[in-house]
Amino acid sequence: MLNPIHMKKIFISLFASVLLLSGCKELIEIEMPNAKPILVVEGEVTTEMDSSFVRLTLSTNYYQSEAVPIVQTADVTVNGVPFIYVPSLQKYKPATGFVGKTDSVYQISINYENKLYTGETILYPMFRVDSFFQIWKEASGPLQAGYSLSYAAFDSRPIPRYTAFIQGYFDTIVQKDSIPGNTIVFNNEITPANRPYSFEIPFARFNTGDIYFATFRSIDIKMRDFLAAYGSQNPNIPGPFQVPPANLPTNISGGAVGYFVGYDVKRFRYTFK
Amino acid sequence: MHLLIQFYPVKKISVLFAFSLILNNFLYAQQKFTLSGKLTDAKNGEELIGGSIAVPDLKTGTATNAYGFYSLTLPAGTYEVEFSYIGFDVQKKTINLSKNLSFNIELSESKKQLKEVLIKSDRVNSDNVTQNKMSVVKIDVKQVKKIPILLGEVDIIKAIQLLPGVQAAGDGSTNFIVRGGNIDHNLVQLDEAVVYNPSHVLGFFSTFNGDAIKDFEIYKGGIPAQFGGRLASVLDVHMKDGNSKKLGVSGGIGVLSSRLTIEAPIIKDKSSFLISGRRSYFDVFFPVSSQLDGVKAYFGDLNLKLNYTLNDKNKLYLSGYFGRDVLGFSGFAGFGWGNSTGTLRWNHVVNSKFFVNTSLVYSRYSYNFDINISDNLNFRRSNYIDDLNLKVDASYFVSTKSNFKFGLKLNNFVFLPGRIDPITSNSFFATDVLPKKRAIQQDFYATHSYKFGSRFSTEYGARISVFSNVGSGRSINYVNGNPTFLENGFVKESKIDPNNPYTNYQSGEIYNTNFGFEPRLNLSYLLNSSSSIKASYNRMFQYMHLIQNITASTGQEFWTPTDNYIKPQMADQVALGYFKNFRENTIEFSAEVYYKKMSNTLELRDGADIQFNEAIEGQIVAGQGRAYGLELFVRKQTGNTTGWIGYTISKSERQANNVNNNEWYDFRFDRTHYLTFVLNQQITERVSVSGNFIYATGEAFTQATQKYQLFGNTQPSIFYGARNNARFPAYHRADISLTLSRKKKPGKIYKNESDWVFSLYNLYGRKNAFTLSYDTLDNVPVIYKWYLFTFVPSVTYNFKF
Repeated sequence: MLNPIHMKKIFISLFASVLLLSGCKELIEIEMPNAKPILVVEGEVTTEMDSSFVRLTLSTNYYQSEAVPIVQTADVTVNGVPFIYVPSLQKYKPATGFVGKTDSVYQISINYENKLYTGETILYPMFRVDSFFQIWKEASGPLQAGYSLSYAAFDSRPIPRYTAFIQGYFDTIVQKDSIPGNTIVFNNEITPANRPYSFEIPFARFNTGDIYFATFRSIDIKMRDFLAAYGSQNPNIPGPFQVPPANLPTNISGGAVGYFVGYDVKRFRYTFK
Repeated sequence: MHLLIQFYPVKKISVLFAFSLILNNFLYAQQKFTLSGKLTDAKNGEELIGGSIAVPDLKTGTATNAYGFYSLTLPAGTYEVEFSYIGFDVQKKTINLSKNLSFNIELSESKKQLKEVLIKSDRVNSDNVTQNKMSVVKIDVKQVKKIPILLGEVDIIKAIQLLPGVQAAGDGSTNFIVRGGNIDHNLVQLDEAVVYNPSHVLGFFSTFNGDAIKDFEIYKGGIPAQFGGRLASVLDVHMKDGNSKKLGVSGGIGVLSSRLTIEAPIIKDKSSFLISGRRSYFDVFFPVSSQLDGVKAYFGDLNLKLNYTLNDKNKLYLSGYFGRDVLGFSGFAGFGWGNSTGTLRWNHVVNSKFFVNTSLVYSRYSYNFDINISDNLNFRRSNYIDDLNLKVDASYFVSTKSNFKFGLKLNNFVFLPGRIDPITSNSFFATDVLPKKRAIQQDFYATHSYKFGSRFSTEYGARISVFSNVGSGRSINYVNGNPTFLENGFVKESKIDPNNPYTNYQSGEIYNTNFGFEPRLNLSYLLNSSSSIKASYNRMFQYMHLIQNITASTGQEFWTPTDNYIKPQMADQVALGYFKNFRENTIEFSAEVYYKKMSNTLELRDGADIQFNEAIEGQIVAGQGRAYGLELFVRKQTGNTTGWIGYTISKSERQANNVNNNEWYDFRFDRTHYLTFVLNQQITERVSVSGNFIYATGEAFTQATQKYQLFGNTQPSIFYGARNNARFPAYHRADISLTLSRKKKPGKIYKNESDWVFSLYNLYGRKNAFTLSYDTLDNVPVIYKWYLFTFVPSVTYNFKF
């Protein structure tokens, strides 16, 4: 179900909102040392046709407001398949027709300025999502009266398997969504195995005509760790609830930051009746 | 198993100890008699702790123990004996000591008179100089009540944070740091029961109700052998026993909370009780704010005490504390936590030289966290620690030069790391319980205080602690034998061995034992009647560890024991001090230097997941620490002007495996300079003003050095540089309060007392950084400092009758 880290994030946000009422903020100047730029890797191999890519950028001094430096001159391969830089997309892409396969191991190799960076991911299959359905709910706590949305699913995968669930791309929907970042990471340790079940989308009420988008992506444990840390790194949570600062973990060796992940992707669109 | 000592030194020490006991009896087997008894407050019968019994003719004396008991063995003869206690009139008795005598003395509070020189009878003793202990500070609770505190809530922890060597873990926080230790390195105990979380309301209030507290003392170093279990300090708090003379009612009505205390004799001078309660009500204002409507937040606590004097030699005490915090958000999220303690004590005077206290103590700290988002997304998560112990502390007063203390403590701990229960029947969450952890601890200690001649005195001793993990329970087996491994420079949690995931232990099976040998030493050399030099050394072991990844006391933090993977923490501290009193002991001065070395300290690895995680050892890395500094302290405790000045210059550092490239880094609460002023001025009989000032170097934090973009997010991700490589702006603040007592007419006797206290916290509105946040302003990355309390006025009405 919902990752405990994400649960923590929910109540931390609640407390932070209380704290914000009594707390105030003020800009301060702190001397910022210069540091050598670090290679930033965003690599995705997906089961959707032609959607796999690698994006390479560089980090910048914290205070610099320059555009993100794009790395265009690296040699990139995934399982030996060359990914070529496409200027219009500012990404490295494989030849047309590339599709990731589930239950496969993918290895990335990046050669940039005579340094080699490598990483590995496992592309696991997603669980089965059969349908979405709506139920009218009266007002409850902070939630107004409206339709709740649930999905019916069936999961026969081994435990644990992780899923990144992304929701609410339209403005009208985002306004109804109280979970920052719109991404929920969960695993199948608690959801019923090998039998149908339904799950209600938390913190959400909808009206007739609303359109809801959901994207499910299977991820491996390293990406799960990465997304959990990415969510916890939210530097805007002030006060005593701020967790100790920590750099994001990475599955890229060689001194780069970022991630390399395999996704099995399922997308859904639901219009409320 | 970590065998920290060999057995033979223990045996050797035991033999030496027994030998010295026999030697003492031999040397002092002359015609001597013992004067013993109790020192109490004439007004309410409360036992006076640390009261002085002096025999000026012999230039000797002693002090009352934690139960007001004293014992003084002198050669036969007639002596004038002075009984005194700070703030009380001295009583002089001429005593013909031709046999063992029991003298219970009642002292009366001295009455201050304005426009007069300090009343001579309100004499201050020279304990600061003469007593063979250092790094210990005791503050009169009456003085604490005059210190301006955030929102007017009397708080002993906020008071000790104004002492050198002690500092707050954040603005307004009751968590405290002592000489570079962690928050959990402080042993906080109330009537001998450990208070595992001494905080209310996210740490902004302490669990100690000022009306129920009789006395407290903090040990920053030179910690006597009767205390153990924490590395940095001991905050020893004693509740009032209850007025054994007459009915007394006191209380206060404040901005955020009110309190009421009732105490009365059950059988006059034989038995009495005290009930003291406190409840906050700031949540009643929440509905006014649309943002806070539906938020529930309050705390309450109750102190209870009952005592019964069986006869001259036996007295029973029963005391308890029950506190609870509740925070809730419109019924869909919330949590609560609280401490419960109970202490049953039996004071037994075996004979005029031998005093024994036996205590049965129970303490529980528990919390729950509820999520109730939807029909199938709801659960309650809870955990607790149970601490049940039996302890015996004995004092054998051989002579004015020599006395022994020894005792034992048998502990039984039960930890519930986590339990999840569904709130509704449709919840996806089934009941899930992490295996309980059980442990037993046995502590034995003995110390001997001895005076060589008139100038040199020593107290030496040791504590032996034996901590064992006991079944039923289990421990996790990891694929590589270690709970963590290193990957791309990051410490990560190892996988559980799929072929043999757990080692299970039967009920009662001892599966891991750690021993700790903890020598303690205090030395004192009296330079003259008003100055001395002192030195101390102590080694401390800590077998219980607080796992916490944020500084707020939200109840999410929890305690975990030493086990197969987590080693006991250990600290060695040496201190050297110069003590000097001025103006007939009315002004105390001390200068202390200390050096502390800590090992096996716990640091959370980056990205640690500590919530409902059985594999907690996979979230931490072992570290070490060092701290050193100089503390200066000047204090005046009597007269119309009282207060102190404290200054500390110090350094505190940490090092942990695979953290910060294994290099040493500043401890978060390392503050180079820490300066405090506390002043109370009695202007008229009715009016007094108090003020504080505090200046501290800003706390250390880890600064972002670079930013980068992920997922196309305009909010950049942050790359941090070396750990704690930068500093918050300096912290400083002044507070002031005005106390107006009830108007009195000359010659009229009043049964009732009352006063109004008006206070201003952060008088000049300094925006002290509580934390920092990284954000963007017009697409430019910026750093904000967050501050909480600027110019906070409060008013409190106190009454007593």
